[in-house]
Amino acid sequence: MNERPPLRARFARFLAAKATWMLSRFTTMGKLILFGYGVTIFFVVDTRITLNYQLFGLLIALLIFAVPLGLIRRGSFAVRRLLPRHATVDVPLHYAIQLSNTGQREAKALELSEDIATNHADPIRPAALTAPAPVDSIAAGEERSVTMQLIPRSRGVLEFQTAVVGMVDPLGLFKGFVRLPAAETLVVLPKTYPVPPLDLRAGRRHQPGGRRTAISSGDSQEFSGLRDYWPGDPVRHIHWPSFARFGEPKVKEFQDEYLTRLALVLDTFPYPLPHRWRIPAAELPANGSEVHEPVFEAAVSVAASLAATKRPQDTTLDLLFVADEARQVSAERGRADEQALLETLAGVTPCLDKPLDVLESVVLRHASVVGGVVLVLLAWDDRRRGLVNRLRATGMEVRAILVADPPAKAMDDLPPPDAVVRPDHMEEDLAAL
Amino acid sequence: MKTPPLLIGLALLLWGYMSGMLWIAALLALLFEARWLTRAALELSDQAVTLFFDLCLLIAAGAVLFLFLSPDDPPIPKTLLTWMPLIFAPLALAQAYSKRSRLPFSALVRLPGFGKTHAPAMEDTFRPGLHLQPAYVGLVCVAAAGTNQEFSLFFPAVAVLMALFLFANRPRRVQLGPWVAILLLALGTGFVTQDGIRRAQRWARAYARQLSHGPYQVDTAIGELGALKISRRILMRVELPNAIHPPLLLSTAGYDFFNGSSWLSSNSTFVPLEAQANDTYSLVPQKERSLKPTSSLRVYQDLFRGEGLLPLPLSAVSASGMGADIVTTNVLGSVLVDDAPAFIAYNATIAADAQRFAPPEHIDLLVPPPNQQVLEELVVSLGLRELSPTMAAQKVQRYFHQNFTYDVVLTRDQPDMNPVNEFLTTTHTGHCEYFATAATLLLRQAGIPARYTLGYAVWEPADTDKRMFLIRESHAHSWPRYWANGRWREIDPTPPLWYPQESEPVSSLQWFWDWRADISFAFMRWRYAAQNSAARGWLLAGAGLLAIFLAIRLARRGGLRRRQATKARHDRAMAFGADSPFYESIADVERRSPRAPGEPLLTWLSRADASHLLPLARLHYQYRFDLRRDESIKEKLKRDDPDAPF
Repeated sequence: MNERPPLRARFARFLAAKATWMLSRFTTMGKLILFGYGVTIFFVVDTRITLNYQLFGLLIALLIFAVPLGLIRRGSFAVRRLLPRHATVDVPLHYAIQLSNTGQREAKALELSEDIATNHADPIRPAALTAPAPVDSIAAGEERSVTMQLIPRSRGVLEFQTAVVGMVDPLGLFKGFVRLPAAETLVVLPKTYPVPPLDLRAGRRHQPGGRRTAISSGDSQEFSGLRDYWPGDPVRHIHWPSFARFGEPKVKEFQDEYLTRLALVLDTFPYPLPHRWRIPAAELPANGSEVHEPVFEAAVSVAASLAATKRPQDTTLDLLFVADEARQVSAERGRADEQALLETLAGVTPCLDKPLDVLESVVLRHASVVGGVVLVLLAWDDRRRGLVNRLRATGMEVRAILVADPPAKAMDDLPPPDAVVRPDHMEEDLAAL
Repeated sequence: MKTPPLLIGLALLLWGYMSGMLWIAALLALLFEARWLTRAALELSDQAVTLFFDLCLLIAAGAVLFLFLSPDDPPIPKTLLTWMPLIFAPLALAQAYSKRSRLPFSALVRLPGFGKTHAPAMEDTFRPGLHLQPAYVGLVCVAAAGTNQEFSLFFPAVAVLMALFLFANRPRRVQLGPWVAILLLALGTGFVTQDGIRRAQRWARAYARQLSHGPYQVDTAIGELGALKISRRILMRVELPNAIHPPLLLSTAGYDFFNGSSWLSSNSTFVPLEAQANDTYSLVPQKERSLKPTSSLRVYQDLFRGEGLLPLPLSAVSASGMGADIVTTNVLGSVLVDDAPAFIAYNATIAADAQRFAPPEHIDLLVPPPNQQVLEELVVSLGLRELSPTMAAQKVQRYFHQNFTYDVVLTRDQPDMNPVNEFLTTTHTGHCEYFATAATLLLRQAGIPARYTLGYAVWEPADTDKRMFLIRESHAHSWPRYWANGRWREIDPTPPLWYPQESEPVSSLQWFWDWRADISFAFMRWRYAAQNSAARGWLLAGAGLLAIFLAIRLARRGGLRRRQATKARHDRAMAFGADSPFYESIADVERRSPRAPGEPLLTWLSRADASHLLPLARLHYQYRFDLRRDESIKEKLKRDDPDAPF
């Protein structure tokens, strides 16, 4: 997996790093002056055409003074970050940095910023957007709490590398940098959208072994309440007086280990492009499949939204997917385990080295205890349709959610999936699930 | 970043003063500075920013069109630069009155298909963007500098604006003393730097001017070695009347003094010509204006910076249609135009026996001493003194045509010898400068006043039009002019063989360059016609209509976009049955006996004597809470009839 990226990517990365390094040393005002310098330099070619050479002279003189004055500033600092446990993609995160002046003199005109490792994606992009926070002054030996703000741009682990204290020159144009190593990580959860509660009408299955968190375990028959009848409820649990009163069957709920268990299955496998979805699996060329990042990220977001949504009290949600190996994470009934699911989803990667059959066997192995399956699929090709059909054949309640924006032509004579979530219209499509 | 009060206003006043639009600038400045008087702030959405920016671009496009079709042909880039503060005023004003100081680039430029429509609404801090107000001040300063008025206080004025800006944004708690000292040092350095740039350029230009002399002096390649490298670039085009047959010589400048390698003009004071009706300039003295013009030719010429010498035939009496502010001429017959459009098309009227040059003077008979002996021998052997000036000139021309060959490869066998003498005695080979110089000096030696003339030979027909001829850079030519029978006449001593030689393509891509030149010529000619015709008004009106149409479309689309966005939000909020018509049905019951807090709907309906609504209420529940939304239920709810068929 440790392939060297192509020369083009390395060169782009190098250029981007250099440009960012240079620009990050200028304050906002400094960047404006730099921009003016870039504009007026074109007019210097002929001083008879315009007087802009005078502006050019003025701007370059300011830079000539500001840059050395910024570079010669010295200081000594220490930082301590106060991070929350999680952040979420595209949700602004506020946290604090305790900045202390360990030098002998008062430090004035500072700007605190973060250096965060870039994403290893092509094209490279920042893992998070940050904004420098100004600090007026810190007396020698004093500590100040600085509120920082960042917006994570991709899920996974955000690696803080160094905190950078910029010391602004007196004109306010250029910063000298003091880099303070402060390596830390923060888990960035995938973005979630509002989803209506999962309502699968899935039958309940006996869950062998009991659950630690149940108030009582085993075959307890403690009555806990009434609820609407769902297909699969034993007839002897029907509460006849209520049936008579409401005109609809109501069943008694007991605190026992008959509970609804749902599997949320995330598809992580390469898929063919929409125009090949009609081709039977056997005829599909072996190398025509791949995972497109935007679609995959959207699918992870869909899974996260489903995992985080409200579910009935007695429902256990299992998240199943195949990454390096088959994974299962469960959110138990009655417990707020959604964070665990989201944390798992934060780190999920596409599975490029195993066939889709692995997923099928994993899901089928669960079929005995699981009442319903929500499949988050990346494509609607022959293999995946087959998977859905075989799962339905076992009698499970299956809901297939396709995360893609296929052209209408590709879907023409295919049986439609239960729902289609378009990556560009996540919010609307998820709300309408 | 802060923009202190008065900064924009002062910058605008400076711009107004320099551009001569002080009133407009004062009005704009007032508009900008009035923002400090009001507390109300505009809500500037991304859509609105896009809208204002599009409006600015529309104004810019309109300005370009206006300048393009303007008959004065102002320099478009420069005028546009000067108008920049006006063009971007709508956006800057909108921003100045809003709370948004930093406008994201993604909001400024929203091309169709770019930018996610559902991008998360991020704070401006995290979006790459631009602080518009300081940037606008910068733009105003650049535009003020673009007017290029010699204004000695420009630098101090800009320095004051800069100091104001830096002061408002100086790092907090910085000590004022050192700050002022550093700023003064920086501003001083800036002054020295810009002065240095100006001086260095002036020096470089003066040095360059020594190398080329224009109409006052021409350096010949006489005495040099190697092949003359002359490009085949098309310089101008000439439309000849049927009466005139090529080859025709068009002269741009005359010279009367030869110093061994360069021809100079001894008296080259240019005097302005008076324009007559219809942009016509008469080139001949008053007494000759009554001459009847025989024909006229039309020249299409590109001018560099609106300045250049006009190529004219020997007997031209007037030139018209240059559109130049200044037309000057000198006694040697050069006509110089200045402040003219970059592309001109003019008519040169010809009258037989017209005389636009001053009569000969003593200097027109001078021969450099090193050449006198060789020339004298030749004059004697040809017997030129015995002939009339016209006959002598004809004989000289014949002599060169018959005994000399044309070659652009300059070779010399005897480098110690005077180049002209070597040409006349040994090599008998050279290019037009040799022929013209030798013939001029030979005529002078024979006692006939003669001058060296520089110009172009017209002979290569254009493919497109039978009467249109191309003048390439390689068609530059020189020939002598001599005085006979009270007027100047011309001969061309260069063997006519040079024409084909100079039309052989140098580059295999010549066809491409010619094609490109043809295209550009056709465009310039069309534009010239558009600028000078009645159609211009229609074009402008059409452009105005188009602008209005675009503006309306822009505004409507912007509005539509916003309305759709709010509608979508509204729809989402209403997603789960909150729009059920049932609410209207129970409004009466609600008024009659209000529902207690926490009271179930069905209980309340029964209590309020509205049991007839109970089936509808069940239907409403179905509509309100069933995720599998069934629109037919809504219809039934609307009709107040739960049993209506689907």
